[in-house]
Amino acid sequence: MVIRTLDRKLLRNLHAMRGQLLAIVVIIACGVASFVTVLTAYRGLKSTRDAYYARYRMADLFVTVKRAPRAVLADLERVEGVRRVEGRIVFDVTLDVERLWQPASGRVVSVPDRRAAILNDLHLTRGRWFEGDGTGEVIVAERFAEVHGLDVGDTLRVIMNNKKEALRVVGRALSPEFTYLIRGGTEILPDAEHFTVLWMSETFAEAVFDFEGACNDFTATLDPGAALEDVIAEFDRRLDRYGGLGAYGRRDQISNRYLSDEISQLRGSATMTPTIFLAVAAFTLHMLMARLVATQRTQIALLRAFGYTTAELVRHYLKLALGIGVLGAAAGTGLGIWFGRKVAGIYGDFYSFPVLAFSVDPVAIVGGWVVSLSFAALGAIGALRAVARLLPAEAMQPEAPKTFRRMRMERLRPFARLPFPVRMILRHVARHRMRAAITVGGVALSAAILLLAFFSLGATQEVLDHQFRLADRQDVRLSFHEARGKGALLDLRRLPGVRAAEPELEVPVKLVHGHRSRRSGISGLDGGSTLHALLDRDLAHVPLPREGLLLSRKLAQILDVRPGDEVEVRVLNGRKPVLSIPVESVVDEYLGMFAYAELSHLSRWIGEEYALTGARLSVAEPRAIGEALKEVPAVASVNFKARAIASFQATLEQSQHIFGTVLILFAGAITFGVVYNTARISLAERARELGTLSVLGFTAAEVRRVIEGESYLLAALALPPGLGLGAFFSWLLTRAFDTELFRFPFVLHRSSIAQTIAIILFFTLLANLLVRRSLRRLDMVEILKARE
Amino acid sequence: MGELYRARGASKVYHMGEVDVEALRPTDLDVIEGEVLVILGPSGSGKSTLLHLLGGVDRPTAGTIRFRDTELTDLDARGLTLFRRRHVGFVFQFYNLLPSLTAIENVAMATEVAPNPRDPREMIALVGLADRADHFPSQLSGGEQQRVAIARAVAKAPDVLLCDEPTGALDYRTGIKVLEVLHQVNHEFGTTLVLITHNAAIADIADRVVRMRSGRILETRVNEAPKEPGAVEW
Repeated sequence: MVIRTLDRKLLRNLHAMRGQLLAIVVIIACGVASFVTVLTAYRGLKSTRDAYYARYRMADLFVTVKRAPRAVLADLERVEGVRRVEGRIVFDVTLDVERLWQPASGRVVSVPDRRAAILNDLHLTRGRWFEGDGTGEVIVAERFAEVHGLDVGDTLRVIMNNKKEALRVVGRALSPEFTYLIRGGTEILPDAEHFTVLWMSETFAEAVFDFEGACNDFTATLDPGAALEDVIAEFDRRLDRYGGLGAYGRRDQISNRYLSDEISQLRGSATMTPTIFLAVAAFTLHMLMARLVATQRTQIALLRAFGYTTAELVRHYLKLALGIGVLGAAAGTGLGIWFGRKVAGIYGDFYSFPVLAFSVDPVAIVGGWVVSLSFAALGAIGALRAVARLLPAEAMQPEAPKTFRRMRMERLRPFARLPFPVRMILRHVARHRMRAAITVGGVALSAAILLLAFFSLGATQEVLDHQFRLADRQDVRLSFHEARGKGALLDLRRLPGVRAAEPELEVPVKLVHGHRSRRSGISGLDGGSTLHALLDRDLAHVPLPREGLLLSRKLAQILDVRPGDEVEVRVLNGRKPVLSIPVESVVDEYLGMFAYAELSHLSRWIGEEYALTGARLSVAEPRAIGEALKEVPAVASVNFKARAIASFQATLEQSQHIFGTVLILFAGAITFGVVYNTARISLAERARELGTLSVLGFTAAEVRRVIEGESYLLAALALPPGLGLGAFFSWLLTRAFDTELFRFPFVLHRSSIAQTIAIILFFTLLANLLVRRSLRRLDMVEILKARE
Repeated sequence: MGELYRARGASKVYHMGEVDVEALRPTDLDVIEGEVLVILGPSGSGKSTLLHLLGGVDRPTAGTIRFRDTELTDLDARGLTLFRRRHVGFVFQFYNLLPSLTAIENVAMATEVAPNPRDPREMIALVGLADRADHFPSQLSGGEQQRVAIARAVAKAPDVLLCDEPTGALDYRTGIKVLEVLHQVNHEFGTTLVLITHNAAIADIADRVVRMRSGRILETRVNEAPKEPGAVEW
């Protein structure tokens, strides 16, 4: 029964400190929640992807050619390490969707007439496979169908091979190679409204594109342990004469690339954020427990005098800490699961999976509990050691009086001029350096988290601005199915409302420098191009080189080339010339990586007089041009900038709102929890002092200032290191996100810093308002009567 | 000499959980300007409660307390704060110095909120601690701390000095010294002194003595020949 009494004491202690404990529980809960959320999302996304890829046979290797006879499949199957190869017909086409005033684009992918266990297999969500030879039938991407309300039996008008055909939708489907339904190129977000995959039967596709017995795209799976690079080299050798554009592995497949980048980023953040929270929680708990043990010295001594062993007492206080850990873990896992589902929802919007396997992950939950309890125990170590060291006789004595000393800074003259409350605050802080350091550290970390959040929001906006306002000056960007002559440009200029049309020539190449190489495209632009600006780091225009190449900085880094170096350019289509071209300059771009050359030079390199594969237009009335382009069969895709910005913004805002709100709340919880605890401890220690001030005739506001001043001082002290750390985190983020798909500039806006400071001060104020309640309850008379 | 305080039917009932404790039964008391009034009684006699009511730290449950022309019972919390700030100096049994301020700073701090304060240095010198002015409370003995507390109370030039067992925590010699300082303040500045104690010997320095027990005044007597603190023994 003895222990039970002690447990009752424990519960009463917990109850008396509930406000402060709750603040710590909240911090722990935030840490555990972020851990559980991220781990749930990471494991869920990874297992979903792996299961999806395995079950629907996602290919390991992809290659596009100009045109090859199906007979070449037998040849490819013999390549060592290849398990299975399939050939198909892939073409980009234009869609005329009634709801849209501009053309949408589609990618035709042929599949066998009869349902079979193919590579990159389809998951039919509605409808059926083709009937007969499938002529006139199409299966569309689930997302696109959903957006446009297309269902089985509906008709879709598609311009294929210069003919407009009305196709009957027979099914809706998902495919592992289009998990991230994206067209490619400069687009980095899926646009299900204007892009879809169109699966057609082989027989029908052969007929439409005049591809009888031929195909232009191969996918393959490899034997386990096969060397991808060797297979790629062998494929390229054997497909060279069919206009092979170079094989690439799953790693470089665009949809997989986005998905896998996401997964590896999640793994990175599964550790950092939770560690920050839990470390702060441990320190705050340490602070609170140290205070508790200090005030309970006599009780502890009494218990020891009664014969309680050190172990029993240590266990008693450990229970208190673990109690906090349990509450934190329970709240945190609950919150984590709830938020994990929200995150899953966001992933569901970005990626198309047959099933999103975001279940309640036992590993994440057990991990959350283990982490929570360990950090709580960690926070208690200091106090437990104090309990163990306490000698009964010594502890029965009241605690030694508070000693204050002059601080070094008091030798400075201005100190003598400071008002007394300020001197009291400064000396108090100097006397409790450890506690002050913990508070400053906690607030600094939350400032760092906040600045990081605002930085990433600002940086994304910066990227958007750079791409859409400064670099891309066109209203419409379109591409043709194949290269055209100068006449096509003149045709475009004659379309209604076209103010300017500038040509673009995209040539697929492999750039080689020493042992480094990269598949890329070279964009040919007109020398006087005004619709596409090439900019350097200081946003100054970089002129298009007259002879050589201009590279994105990232591409230059990957190839390890500097202006003046020569690179080997292996053109992948046409007559496949191999040229040696000097790099003249580099540009800074945040999305993708490209190479640029003057259009007439580029045309000559590929043996043409003047060729273009697309154009950028400046138009007066987008709608008119949209309608007009619907009727131009040569056009493969049309991209309206305004629409791209809108969809970009909408998607970003949705995910960033959630992300931003959560980070602000979490950082707020840290600031609030730490400041509140410090202020309450300070209040408890100084109740007598404050009571004295009150009796002496100081007003409530004047008394309050002594406690609140300390909070604001500590918060202010935390801001410079916090902002510094946040800038460092932001810089780390720019390093981590320096990928081939996108990059961030390291630019900290004044508004980000101002918002961070405002939020820190807001939560400090909030904590102080709560402390005021306790301050109001201070009973002057009681204080005057009581001896310390 | 006029009345400084005029308490009529002042009483105080504390609600302690489910029982009411009548700490002070309805009491009439006058305090005369410039006098030394000692309230004598054992613990629980209601003397501290009475002192708290006079100091505006607490409010009577019933009755009135008038300070000069001001009815204290009419004042709100802020009014009471301003009353304490302008008119009252407190000296406590356990000194209640602010540990983070030096002796001189403790005194100067109190003068900051007073309308016509005295010079803190002079006050520290008055209590004989000029050479210890820059020490922190933890570096001072109990008697020295109490003298700083008196300097702090006097520095704001209060009309009344309310002392709650000022010698209670001190040894005899130190206690005498503290009483001498209080006596000196009364003589030099004419500050009214209300002093509560359970030590009957101290009553010898009073102009008038009020004896209390169980929350009521037993008797009020005038001391025809107040002693100098140095002559008091206990």
